[in-house]
Amino acid sequence: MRCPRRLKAATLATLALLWLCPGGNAATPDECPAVDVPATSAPGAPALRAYIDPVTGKLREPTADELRELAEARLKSRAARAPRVFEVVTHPDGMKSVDLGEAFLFDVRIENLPDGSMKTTCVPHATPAAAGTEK
Amino acid sequence: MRTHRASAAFLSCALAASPLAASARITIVNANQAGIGFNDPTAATPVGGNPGTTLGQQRLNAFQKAAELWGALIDSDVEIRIKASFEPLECTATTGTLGAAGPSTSVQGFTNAPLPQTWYVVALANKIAGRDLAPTAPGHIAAKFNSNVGTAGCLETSQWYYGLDNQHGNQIDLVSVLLHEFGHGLGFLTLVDPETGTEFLNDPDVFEQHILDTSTGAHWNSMTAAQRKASALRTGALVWDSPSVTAAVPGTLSGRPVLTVTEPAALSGDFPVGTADFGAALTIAGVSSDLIAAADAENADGPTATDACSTLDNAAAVAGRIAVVDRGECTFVVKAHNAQAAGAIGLVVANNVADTSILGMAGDDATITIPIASVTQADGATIRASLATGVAVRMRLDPDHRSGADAENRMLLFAPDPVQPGSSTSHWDSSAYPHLLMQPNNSSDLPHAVDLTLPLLQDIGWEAAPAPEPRDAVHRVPRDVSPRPLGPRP
Repeated sequence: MRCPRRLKAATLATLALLWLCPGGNAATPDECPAVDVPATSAPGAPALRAYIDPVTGKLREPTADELRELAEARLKSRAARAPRVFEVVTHPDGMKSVDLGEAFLFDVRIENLPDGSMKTTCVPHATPAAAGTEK
Repeated sequence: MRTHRASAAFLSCALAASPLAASARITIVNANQAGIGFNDPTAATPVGGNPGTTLGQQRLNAFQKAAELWGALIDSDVEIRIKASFEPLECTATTGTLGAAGPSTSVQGFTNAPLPQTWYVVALANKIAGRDLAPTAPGHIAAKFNSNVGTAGCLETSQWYYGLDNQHGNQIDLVSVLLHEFGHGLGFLTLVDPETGTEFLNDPDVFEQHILDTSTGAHWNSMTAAQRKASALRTGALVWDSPSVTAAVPGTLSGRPVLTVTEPAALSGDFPVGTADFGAALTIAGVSSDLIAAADAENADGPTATDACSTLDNAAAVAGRIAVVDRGECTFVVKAHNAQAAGAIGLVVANNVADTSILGMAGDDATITIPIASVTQADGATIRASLATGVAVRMRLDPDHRSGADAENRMLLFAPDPVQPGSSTSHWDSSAYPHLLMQPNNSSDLPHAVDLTLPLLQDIGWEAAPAPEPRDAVHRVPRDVSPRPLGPRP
């Protein structure tokens, strides 16, 4: 049985950190992809992270290992933060409802690129954590 | 508050696509204060069928239009309320949030719930239960959009297009964005955290029932969190398991663009490729040749000998062949121009980013007449490793496989590695073409249609047309030419 009327504590999707994928997402289309600013989320807040080639001094794309390190860091940071509490309301007929607030909104973001084109992406809105309280 | 019921005209369209009479009343709940957002009194000139004469009225009319389109295609006896506002959202001069929307409540264990202990978005649950399960909530779907777009300091070169006719040119078509966002609010999402695989409050959601990992044969609702976390990264293996969506794929999507290696035997097979929105379209017949690594000077135009950012040094070898170059340092158009000038009959661009999703290449140059395709960084490395001994290829469309679908025509879900929270799994794969409403990159070439989203919503419990509307009527795509993405792909 899956925790029927108990207070549930769970970790929920971080639907939210602004992750502009350093691949197709952050990469500009027609303008120089390798000089795209590789964008990713710093834990807890939207941010840009730049990678500089020590030889050329130019911006470069992060490596796969660097991307994975970032993902791990993001997860660790999220784990260290207090989870968001969702209130689970159990109704007389047994139905359960949860006010999601803005936790599962999807943002449409746009970026105007140097070549005049624009890129739109659908990304998470906020960082829901995840714990439940029962009412 | 304003209410809109599907007009007779739209009902006619819906009926033409389906024997089912489907409609729902979708109400836009204006959450703006007087004088701002939907109530902005700034004078506006009617545009594109939008008769509003104030900024606020035009915004509201666009919302009504999107609500009307959805309302004509789904069926519910319970009014769907969308709490909506136009307000300043996060923005800089070049990047920012256009808007956000999604479900405001999730429920389980309601009357007539098809699946026990399974989360449903409330708009869908209402339809199934036949009553409003959140009667005091201001909206079943929440939506807020950016009122500052196009003003100083906020996406200064962009503008909302408030017309209702999709003739948006270089502006941002609000109705298209709303159709996508409302789709999430109606249930096109999983509540699972793709980074951890954890289900929402430890219970599955209805969307999970149809997420199939073809590499393991398991659906997400039967997996552990660790298995879901791993599954979310399996590009090309995560599909929507549904006979109705699968049946609609051949009539909706074009053939899959591939680079077919014919020699050497050890490398033979199809590599999936991305396409460019300039140059010649790929065809089923395709272009065949040996591959040749393009070489150019390491100079200010591009610091490597493989970026093709300047005139090629090995033009004699490139002539009559398909050139391979690396992405980066200059535009795709520049690379194509240099390859073509050297006599190449095709161009393959190897991604320089470790991304498993397919890269589309934007650009505009009518003088480019050769076909251009992109491969992943990993595939590029594999191909380059064999160039010394010769690699024969054909750049083509595979008529037996649809773009964005697997070999069995099951629609791929977006499953990039690394994971993209929010985008992963809750969208169709970025390789689908023609572009679909619920792809993560919100293409600018979308018709005001809901394509494969409609049968997906039917799978989770909505009653709607059993097949997507005849998309070719509004977005005809020849079956023997390649996808032509208009922008970068996530």
